[in-house]
Amino acid sequence: MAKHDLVLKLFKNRLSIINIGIENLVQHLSNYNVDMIQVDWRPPAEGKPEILEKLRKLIK
Amino acid sequence: MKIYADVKKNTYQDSMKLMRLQATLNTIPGIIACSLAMGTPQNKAQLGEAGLLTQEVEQAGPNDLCIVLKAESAGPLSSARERITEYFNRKGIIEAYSGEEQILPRSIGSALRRMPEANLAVVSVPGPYAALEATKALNSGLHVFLFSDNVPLQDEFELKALAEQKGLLMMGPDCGTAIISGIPLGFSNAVRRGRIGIVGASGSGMQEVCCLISKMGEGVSQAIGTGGRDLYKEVHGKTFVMAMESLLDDEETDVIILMSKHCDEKIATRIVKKARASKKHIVVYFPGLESLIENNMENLHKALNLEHIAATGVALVRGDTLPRPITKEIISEEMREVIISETNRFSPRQKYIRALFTGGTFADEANVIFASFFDRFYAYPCYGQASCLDSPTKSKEHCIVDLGDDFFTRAKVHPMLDPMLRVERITKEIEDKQIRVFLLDVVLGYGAHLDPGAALAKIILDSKRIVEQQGGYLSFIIFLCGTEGDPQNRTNQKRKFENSGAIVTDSSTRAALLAGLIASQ
Repeated sequence: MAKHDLVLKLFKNRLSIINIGIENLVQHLSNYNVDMIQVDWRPPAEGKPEILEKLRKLIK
Repeated sequence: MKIYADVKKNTYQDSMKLMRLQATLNTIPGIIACSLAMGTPQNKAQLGEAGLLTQEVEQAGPNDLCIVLKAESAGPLSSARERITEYFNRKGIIEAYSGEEQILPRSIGSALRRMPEANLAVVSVPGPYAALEATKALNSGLHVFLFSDNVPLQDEFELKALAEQKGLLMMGPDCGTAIISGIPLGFSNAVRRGRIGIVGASGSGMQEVCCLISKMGEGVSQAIGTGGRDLYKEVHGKTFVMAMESLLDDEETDVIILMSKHCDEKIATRIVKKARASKKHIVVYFPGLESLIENNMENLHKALNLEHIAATGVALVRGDTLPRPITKEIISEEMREVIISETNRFSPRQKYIRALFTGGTFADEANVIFASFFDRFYAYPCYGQASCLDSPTKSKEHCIVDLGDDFFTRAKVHPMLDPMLRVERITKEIEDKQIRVFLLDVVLGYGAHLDPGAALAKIILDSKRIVEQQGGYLSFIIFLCGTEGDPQNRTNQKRKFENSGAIVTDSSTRAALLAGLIASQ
């Protein structure tokens, strides 16, 4: 499998989007043949930087 | 004067919603200042600088929405509070679209459980959280369009290394625009679908090239944004290379355009070498590194300005003779009557051009073009052959100002979304009676202001009238980055600007050249 086969697959398939953040950024996509779901995002760890840093280390 | 402050606990709202609401509140007569922002340390510091940090706001946390209003009297304050209440009672956009009340997923993981076929995450959370969410998306097998900025450079490298390992596209951070298989993402335009693929740093320059290609009758297969730092030496061009290699193998793409400023020379050289080894025709726009493309590189073609990029791509796809870049001599011939008409009414003291841009790439292009006209000109931000202004808020002589720069947008709505910043600047600029011509970019498309023609027409008409009363004449040169399919409709916008007395050109390149010619007659 070439290293960009997944990118070529993205080009060929219908876009199915998870939007995390600004709703207005994807508002226009209702005019296009796209599936979409909005995440009700809030800052994790109540925005506390020290907990955020620990979360980032966990996820790496 | 009255001040009102309120903190809504645990009421996260995205920055664009807050900016739009803030822009609406600013139009209420009698409102002196307003701020709607989450209670992050950075936002609170800015409120402090603006004299709006009340006691309750100081106690707020990053998840709390802080509202501070300053008004001349109780009346405007009350109107503003009503608008805020109306806003919070409105349905969310997705809810309104589906017609159903939904409980939205709270994470990428739960979104994927509801939509397992998802293939792309669009991430636009505040910078400190962006890398975390993008990492989660990549680990879930999603390609990512990362609109957020203020992401540390090291995080960008790690995200792109992870994406490379997984074979996924990591567009951004600070990726403003992209078009994937005809679907416009971020700030983008309704352009024709076609056989020209683009890899770009994803600012307004890529929008302009897409719009010009569409206007010239061809179309875009993919426009992949990489973010503005992908070709820094710290990031190694990872997304650029992945995108280029994908387009080389894409059966729907015949011609490829590569465009980015701020390229590390070694990385640009590596990319040019890869491009040279390919069978497809490739147009390369790496300003400052034109020498990397030699004349004997058969499939590589260097472009010298934004219009030239689009025109070259179109010619290649059609098998036509390659175009020469537009020059001040060619423009001068075409626009001779316009130039005569615009320059025969100035007063002797009117000498200077003021270029007030919302798109950084247009400011860059004008910087190069002005250097061909003027021995000295000023710019903010200051680079290339421009001299530096003492203050970004005070223009001098021939001057280019990028009003989309962080300096101006830190506490205000970006001028692409709200023309108010530019209206205020023009109002201030015309106190200088030595100005001859204004040069403005107007970017249309999804995400941009819905009617910039209406919003700017008044200041154009008022400014022209003021200068006429002083015995002079003020020229406005505008280019519209957009298409007929955009929500604003390019033709309608063009008519509004022309009705206000402005000259509207077909491209950013032509606008800068024409403005330079008018200023130097």
